[in-house]
Amino acid sequence: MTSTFSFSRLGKLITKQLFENSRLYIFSVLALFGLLALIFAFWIGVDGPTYHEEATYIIFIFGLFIAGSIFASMAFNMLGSKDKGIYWLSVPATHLEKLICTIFYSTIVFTIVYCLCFYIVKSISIAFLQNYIKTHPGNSYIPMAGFENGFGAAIKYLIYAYFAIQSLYLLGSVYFSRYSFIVTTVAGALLIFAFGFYISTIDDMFGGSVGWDLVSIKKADDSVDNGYFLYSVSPTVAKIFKYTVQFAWAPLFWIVTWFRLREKQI
Amino acid sequence: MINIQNLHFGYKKRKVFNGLSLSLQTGHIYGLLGKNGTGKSTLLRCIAGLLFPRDGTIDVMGFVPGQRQPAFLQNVFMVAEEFYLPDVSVEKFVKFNAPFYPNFSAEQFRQYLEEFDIPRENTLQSMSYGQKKKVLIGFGLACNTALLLMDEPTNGLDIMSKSKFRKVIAGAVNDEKCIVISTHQVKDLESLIDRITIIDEGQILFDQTIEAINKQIQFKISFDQDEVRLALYKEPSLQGNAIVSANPGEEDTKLDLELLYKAVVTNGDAVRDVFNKQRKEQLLSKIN
Repeated sequence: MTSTFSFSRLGKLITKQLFENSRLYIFSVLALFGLLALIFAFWIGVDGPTYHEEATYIIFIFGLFIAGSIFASMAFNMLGSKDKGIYWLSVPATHLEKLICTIFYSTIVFTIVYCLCFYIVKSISIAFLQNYIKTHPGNSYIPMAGFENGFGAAIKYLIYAYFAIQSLYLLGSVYFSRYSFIVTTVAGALLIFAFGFYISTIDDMFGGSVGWDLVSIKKADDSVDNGYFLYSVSPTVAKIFKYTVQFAWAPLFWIVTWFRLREKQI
Repeated sequence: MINIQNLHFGYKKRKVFNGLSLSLQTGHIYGLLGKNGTGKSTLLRCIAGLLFPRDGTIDVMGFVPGQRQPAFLQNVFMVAEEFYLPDVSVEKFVKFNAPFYPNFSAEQFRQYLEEFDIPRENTLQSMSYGQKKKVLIGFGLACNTALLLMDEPTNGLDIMSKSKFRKVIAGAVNDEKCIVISTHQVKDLESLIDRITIIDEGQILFDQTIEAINKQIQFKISFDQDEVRLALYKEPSLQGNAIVSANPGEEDTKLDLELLYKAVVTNGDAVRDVFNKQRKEQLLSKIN
């Protein structure tokens, strides 16, 4: 038996969690179906006579963010009370295995289940809508043109952001034993506000003649041919930085969560 | 098995332990007694790795409990005073929890449930507090962990169940096992524990085996005024004065844990002097 990680123990943990929470999971899936059905019914009711498929993807993203955050903020609610906390921490498995088991349900399983629920509800809604359009001239359904432009192009980045935000709520559920969702939302909003303030302060510092992003600075200068000097980190460093910003948040928050779990006292 | 050295622990502003040292061995059932809020539950949680000492060390079977390694956790079971059990049947609870404990015995668990009259098919949440506690005690015993920690295990048990509890625990202890029972209901532990540790103000106030107590302390009803006056502890009763006194003649009397506890709490120095004096005499006789 390894003291750090064992697939056998992880398997036991996953099975245990599934059977001990099966009722909660079934009701959660039913609630998700119900909520999505209500939202789609509302969309069909108000979005005519021209129905844009793009609107369904906006619903998808909003639902994913909100439901995912709520679900993640409940991930470690066992640690919020003494009796449940003792039960959870006393299970003979490592903190890493317990964390992976939690990520498995709150991130992987949740996302798959949400996508499946969305797909089923959307398919039924679109089938209903197309039938409705046939019998009600003047209404139309416009499929999304693709994922290259507009909101479609942003979906990819929103999915990255979803995993980052979900892992932040997961961390919040270990840090804040009560009202985890609300407290994490407030803490996250404060962090975003502080970051925005920091960026605007830097922007003010440079003045109007300098444009900048996180990897380059563009300084206007009429004495040169193209009208500006460009100071930039190398393309490789810029690429690494871009990938880090896109993908590193979730693993970073998971690592912090793991440290926090090790320190948890009941 | 458990070696605690110079343990310091506190909650925010309240200090609980200030240099507590204690050593517990296998093959014994220890009774951890003390007033409410003296740190009995805290000590158990420190031993179980649920709380970390501010200073000092805790060694349990060669492990640092706070690291909560699987090899440690599968050899320790804690029956907490405030406990949680999931909303599943007893069968399912065992099916998904027992695999974490390599020494779990399904046959033993079945016997404990029979002893406690617990129906196996019921879901845990539909059971009464007492029934749930008995399931947890039975499961903890059937896990056959080297260390079993029990915090107020008889709370919520009816009179018959308390008696069965004593029977079950007495039958469960062996040379490889250590059972620590924390309680303020001292009567429930009589004839069960073989060593008593009394904690007060974060310190060990008294720590003796039942054998030593029976040799050096006597418990009786007395009408003799001189005897009552010299007693370590006395309280009037319907039959006379119930007293705790030194036992120089090593008379065989029935241990009364409640009286002993009161004697230690109200007149601790005098009680300890009895044991120290006896120890000195034994040492002197050995030297001579």
